[in-house]
Amino acid sequence: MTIDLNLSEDQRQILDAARNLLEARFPIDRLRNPGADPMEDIAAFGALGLALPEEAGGSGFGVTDEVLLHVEFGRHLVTPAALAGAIAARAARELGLASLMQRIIAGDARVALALRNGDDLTLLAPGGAALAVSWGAGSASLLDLSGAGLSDEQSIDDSLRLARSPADALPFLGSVHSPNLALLAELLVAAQLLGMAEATRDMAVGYAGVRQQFGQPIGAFQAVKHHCANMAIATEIASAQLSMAALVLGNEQPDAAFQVASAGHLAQRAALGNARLNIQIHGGFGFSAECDAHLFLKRAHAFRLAGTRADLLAHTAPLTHLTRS
Amino acid sequence: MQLDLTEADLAFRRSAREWLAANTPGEPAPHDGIAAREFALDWLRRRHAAGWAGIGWPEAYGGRELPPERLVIWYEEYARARAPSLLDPTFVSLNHAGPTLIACGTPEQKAFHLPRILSGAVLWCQGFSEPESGSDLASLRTSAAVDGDELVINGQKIWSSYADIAEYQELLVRSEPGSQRHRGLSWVICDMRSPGITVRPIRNMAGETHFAEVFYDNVRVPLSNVVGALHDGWNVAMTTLGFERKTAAMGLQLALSVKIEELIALARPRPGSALAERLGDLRAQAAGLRALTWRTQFRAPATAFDGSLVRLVFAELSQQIHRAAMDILGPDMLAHGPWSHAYLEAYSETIAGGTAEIQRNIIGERILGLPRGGAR
Repeated sequence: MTIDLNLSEDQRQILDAARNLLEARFPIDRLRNPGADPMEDIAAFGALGLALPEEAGGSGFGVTDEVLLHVEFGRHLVTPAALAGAIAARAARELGLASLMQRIIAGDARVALALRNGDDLTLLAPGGAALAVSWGAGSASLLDLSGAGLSDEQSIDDSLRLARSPADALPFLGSVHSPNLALLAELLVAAQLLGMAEATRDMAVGYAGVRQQFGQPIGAFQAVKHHCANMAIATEIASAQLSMAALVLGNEQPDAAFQVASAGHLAQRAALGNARLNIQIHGGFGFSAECDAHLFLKRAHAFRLAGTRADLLAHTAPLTHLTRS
Repeated sequence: MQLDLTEADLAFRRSAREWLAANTPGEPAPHDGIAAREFALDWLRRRHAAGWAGIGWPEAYGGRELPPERLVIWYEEYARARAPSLLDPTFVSLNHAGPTLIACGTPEQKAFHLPRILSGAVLWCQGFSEPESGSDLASLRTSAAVDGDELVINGQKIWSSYADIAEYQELLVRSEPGSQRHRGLSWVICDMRSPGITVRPIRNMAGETHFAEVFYDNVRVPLSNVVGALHDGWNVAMTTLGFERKTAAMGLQLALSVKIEELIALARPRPGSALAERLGDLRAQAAGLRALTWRTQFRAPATAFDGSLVRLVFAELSQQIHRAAMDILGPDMLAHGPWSHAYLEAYSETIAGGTAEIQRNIIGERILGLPRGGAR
């Protein structure tokens, strides 16, 4: 048996390449002068077709690799259009829309992320988007934005624009019933949330180590140290579960739905909890717009809405083999 | 990252499952005293006779030297079978003393003690904490004066589980007069039947009497009972605690997953209800703990302080599960029963083996690299 939730050498190499790109082109302080993130860089990296087979124009990597990439996207608060593009490319492929899929992977057709809100849709990152993608309950849908004439507005997050529309006002390009695709979307949302949790943990620990009060770094005080420890705990458990869910989904094992739902639940908790503690640990600075802490809080809220709130009791128990039948 | 089960793994799982189904005791384990001792030793002897004791130990010491992957399967099946809690009177001998002797003992110590431990001939207890040295273990004062080829021990230990029914104790003493803190300590094998030892059992809040105070009045222990080097006991003790936070913890964690499933079956919450959300959250946390356990078991090289984090997640999840059980039971929780008992017992989880506060300090300082506080 091999059970290994640690990174392979190949995975480390992909991660290093992704980190280099993101450090150079997507530093967090770019968000102080908001503008749409350049999709060409994301596309050129192969991010939008990373786990699609090479004969379909993808890069032929696995689900676990794609998850790691989206963790890094979360750390850098990359536009939700990257996640939307990765899911939309798969939906287009399953719908037989090959040329659309190619345009998405190449970064030529930008995709907005559609959140359902009853009969209405809230679109994240609609600027320049040709289409939108939404998912839920075992299916994914593509919506045509080309003739919609949407006007976008500022969100509570200066670095994230949104548009709102009645759902029936946007023409359907197609809807595909695909439980695995919906689960993959949930998994990538969880991955981005985990990235935010990691980034805020690191920010808080870094600040607690240098900010001095009462003649010593505030991280020496247990009240602050224990906040940081709690951030580390929430991040580690979410991270391990995300890897488990990615492996199980990649192997198409029967407990995939539960493992993914658990990963989503733990990642939401880590991202929001860490974002809150990070603000608290930064004190007055943390409450100011000059500190990046609020960006992570707001983005965590947005991505949390992108993940469905799964009923964790509805799925097949992951440890069915542990319970007496 | 990968996850593969081979045919050989499945065959191993089947054999573990079949043996456990046929041999797991049907009656609940007694909580304390001679009855607890006999039950635990009998269960260990049965496992030993069938080759299921110390399966991760080296073959030279009676084990099967199975890799961690197989241990995961064994512990999963152990939890599934509702086999007796691993935190029983044999816990210290199997998970502290045995592994510590394997790592640091002399050939004579290993040859004498390891077969007795594994075959269920003897029990061990722990002697680390003192009335004035709890979280601050390095301040311990129980002294061991070198006198010829013996140590003469005076002082007092406390919270020593099963001290009243054990033959041996892993005893941490200050062997170098005037030494400070972590220096000058020794880890010694103390025969609990030695003259000068008095054991006073202490009843705990769950109503059991499984821990005790131990008093030492000129207790003579041969120098050949020192494990590791004389005065190097702190390093040996850290080795001991490292074992506690690794393999043994895996079985306890998997048992928690089973408890949650039992609780869900007991509560049958309405979908969408607050109770369903609470149980769903616990279930997700248990899944995360399992994933965390797997990742840390197979991390290479192992990181020294992973154990603190996993141990803390386990302890706090255990308490959450038992609190949920009390809310589900309603007035029935006031009556004696397995859930009420386990609920009360779970209060020890965030205290024993390092309090939650100390574990958070370790996470903050050793994993995250935050500065140490002034007052220690």
